Amino acid sequence: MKKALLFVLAVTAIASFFVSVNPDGLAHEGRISTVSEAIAGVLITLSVFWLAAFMYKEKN
Amino acid sequence: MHIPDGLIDLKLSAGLIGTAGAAVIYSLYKLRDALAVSGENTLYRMGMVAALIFSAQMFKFPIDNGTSVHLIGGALAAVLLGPFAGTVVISVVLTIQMLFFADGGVLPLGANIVNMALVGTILCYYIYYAIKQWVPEWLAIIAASWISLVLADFSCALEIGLSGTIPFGDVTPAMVKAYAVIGTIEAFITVALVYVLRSLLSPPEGHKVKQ
Repeated sequence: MKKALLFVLAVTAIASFFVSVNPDGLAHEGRISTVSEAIAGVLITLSVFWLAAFMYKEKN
Repeated sequence: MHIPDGLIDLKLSAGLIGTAGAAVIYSLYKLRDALAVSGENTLYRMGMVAALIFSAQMFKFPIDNGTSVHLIGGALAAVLLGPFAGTVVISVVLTIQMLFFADGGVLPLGANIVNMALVGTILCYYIYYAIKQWVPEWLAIIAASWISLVLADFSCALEIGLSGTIPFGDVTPAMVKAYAVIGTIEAFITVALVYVLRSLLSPPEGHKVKQ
């Protein structure tokens, strides 16, 4: 699982770099930087499922 | 493919929210089977795949009509997790993108879930499952990924066209052409990621995930 997490973080780093040098050209007023967005999004996504896993484990 | 607010007719949005809601509830119900077999390990795997899909969807390329094309990851979720866990994963990713990053509108969330989770994941899984009977798995993944991505895109164009905000004849060719190209890229990326993640996320012995 740790290797998978490292792999996800590596892809996130590549994605944020790609987006920062190749913006999609659409209007995104007031949006946070792409690197912050990538890190925050991955952390929020992981948190949702890990919280669900923790709650499931506690319940059972 | 994330439809913003104002692009979809209100009545159509309501109908698609109902459809998406029913599909997600049914998928959560079916997810209990996988949880009964693998326990919380299923949720950890879903989290990893969801995070990877969130990152993959950041690779965006602008096209005409105020929208952009990007990797979806529905095929990846469907092949690695099965159709129902995959649908939950894509739906959660779309909801997080909508809530925290203004990526996709509030009312069109149902449409986005229908396009990317139902067509792009559930339908993709059954295309993959059918094709796999006849060809090697890697080829089935490529075919299912490409077909489902183009169908999801066509579904998106159809919703926009039916709403009358952009003429169907204008939005469909631009999006379908773009996604036919990016679908090819996604198909090959999906195959590579499926085999890499299978090795990294291999469940412990005796804990195979039930599809």
